[in-house]
Amino acid sequence: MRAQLAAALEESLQAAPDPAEVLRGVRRGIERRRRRRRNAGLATVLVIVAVTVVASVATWPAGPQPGARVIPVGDWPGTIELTWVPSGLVNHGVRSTVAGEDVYYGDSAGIGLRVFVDNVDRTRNLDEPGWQRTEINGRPGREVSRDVRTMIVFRLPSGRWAELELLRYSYERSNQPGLREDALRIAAGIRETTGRPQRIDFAPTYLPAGQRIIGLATSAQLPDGEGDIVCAAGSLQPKAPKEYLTEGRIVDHRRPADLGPGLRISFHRRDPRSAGMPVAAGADRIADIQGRPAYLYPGSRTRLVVDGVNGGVLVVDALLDGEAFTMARPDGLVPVAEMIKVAQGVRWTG
Amino acid sequence: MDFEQFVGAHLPALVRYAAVLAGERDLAHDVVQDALVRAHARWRRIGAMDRPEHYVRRMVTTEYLSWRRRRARRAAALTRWAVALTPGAVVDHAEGTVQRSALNQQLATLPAKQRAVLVLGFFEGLADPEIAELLGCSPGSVRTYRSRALAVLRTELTAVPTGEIR
Repeated sequence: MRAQLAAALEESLQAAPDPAEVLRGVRRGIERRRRRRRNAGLATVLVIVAVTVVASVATWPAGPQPGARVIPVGDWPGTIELTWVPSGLVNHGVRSTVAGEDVYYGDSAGIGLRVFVDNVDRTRNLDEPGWQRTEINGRPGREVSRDVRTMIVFRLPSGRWAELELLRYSYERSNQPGLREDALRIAAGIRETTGRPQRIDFAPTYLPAGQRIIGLATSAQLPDGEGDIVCAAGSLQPKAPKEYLTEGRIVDHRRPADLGPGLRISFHRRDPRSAGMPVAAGADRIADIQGRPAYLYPGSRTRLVVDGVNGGVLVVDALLDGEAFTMARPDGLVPVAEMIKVAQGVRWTG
Repeated sequence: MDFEQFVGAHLPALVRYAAVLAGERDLAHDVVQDALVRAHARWRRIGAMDRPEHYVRRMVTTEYLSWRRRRARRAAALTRWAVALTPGAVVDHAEGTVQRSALNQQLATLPAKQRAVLVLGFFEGLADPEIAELLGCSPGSVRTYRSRALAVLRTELTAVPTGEIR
């Protein structure tokens, strides 16, 4: 019956709508939303302007309060350099933590590139089902190409393993010409460097017991000083092998780091399009934090948002092994009361 | 990754996922379209996530499970049943096809969460804890949904052998 059920569900793919038609619908929907906003009355505009002005001049605590010492964030430099990427790809950001390093590139034509360097698991299996062995700069690796993506796993000179995923969107689900060759060329051009420091212009003064800062994430699309501070309380040692399944149904195994319960503290300047976002998303209003409206996302209560701080949005996410949970709250997460304390203690250092 | 790049890279996969989840073209179209329009409004936040495609996939699932969609889906299913029961309706007599077609009809009448559990488990290959996280319920509830869904399928499709799915 399992096979019949899978076949019956597979039949449903015949009901897949035309992506181009869906895309046209999405664009119409976005335009409708924008039009509604443009047509809002002058009074509404004035209210928004007033709220924005108030938010912009809201006094972020100038420095740590007496007795509240800023916890050093560090600069967590990215240690890999891509000496060649396909024409048009731009760097979208980097995340560098004790567990590993992610680099993202993209372009407007649907090409996406992610490189992850694993700082924890030094023992990759070279014979994963569906993959082929390969060599990058004389070092062992494996590769797979399916539909619109190529993945390569290979060892760097330092002994760390790198995962490279290159995808090129197409309405056709066939292999993309040149995709594998581009992926191999990118992989061959990856160098390990002493790294370029990341800059974050805010810092916590309080972290729950056991939590420590394990890395930073910044985006080339955001102004300097904005980004994420990543914290964890786990042993940071490799755990048992875990299966990972990509959208292209490519299966891989690796041993993730034991990050345990953690926190992600993010600060981003206000995007005018996100005004009122927590309310629109149905978030629960809680008591003000740092004199600004604060919200908890409903259900999971794993995301705390302080709106309008220093003209931006402060977000504290409770994580478990690096994963955020927005639908339900698993056991073992940092309690909400502690998340509130963390948000209360964040200070601007830039 | 900005919104345009995300759509360029992930729209086909989202459309296929929605089609299997919803089982009908119009509903799958609406579910993906509405989820992406909402995602666009929050893209600053979603785009900064580690794997935005996972979050948007959740949005598609949530959209499918919403009561408005569920009602529309049941209305469409009733219409299909009405057509199927009309005397003279064309029937494909190839046994396997008929059986899968009947299975599809039964799948279409399942409550949304029960169908979602089957799709996420048997088509997407997710484990119970992952399904539970997606649907916002406990792994025990996932097992209950699956058990009830399979009980319905077994009851209605007497020709289908039982006991293979654990």
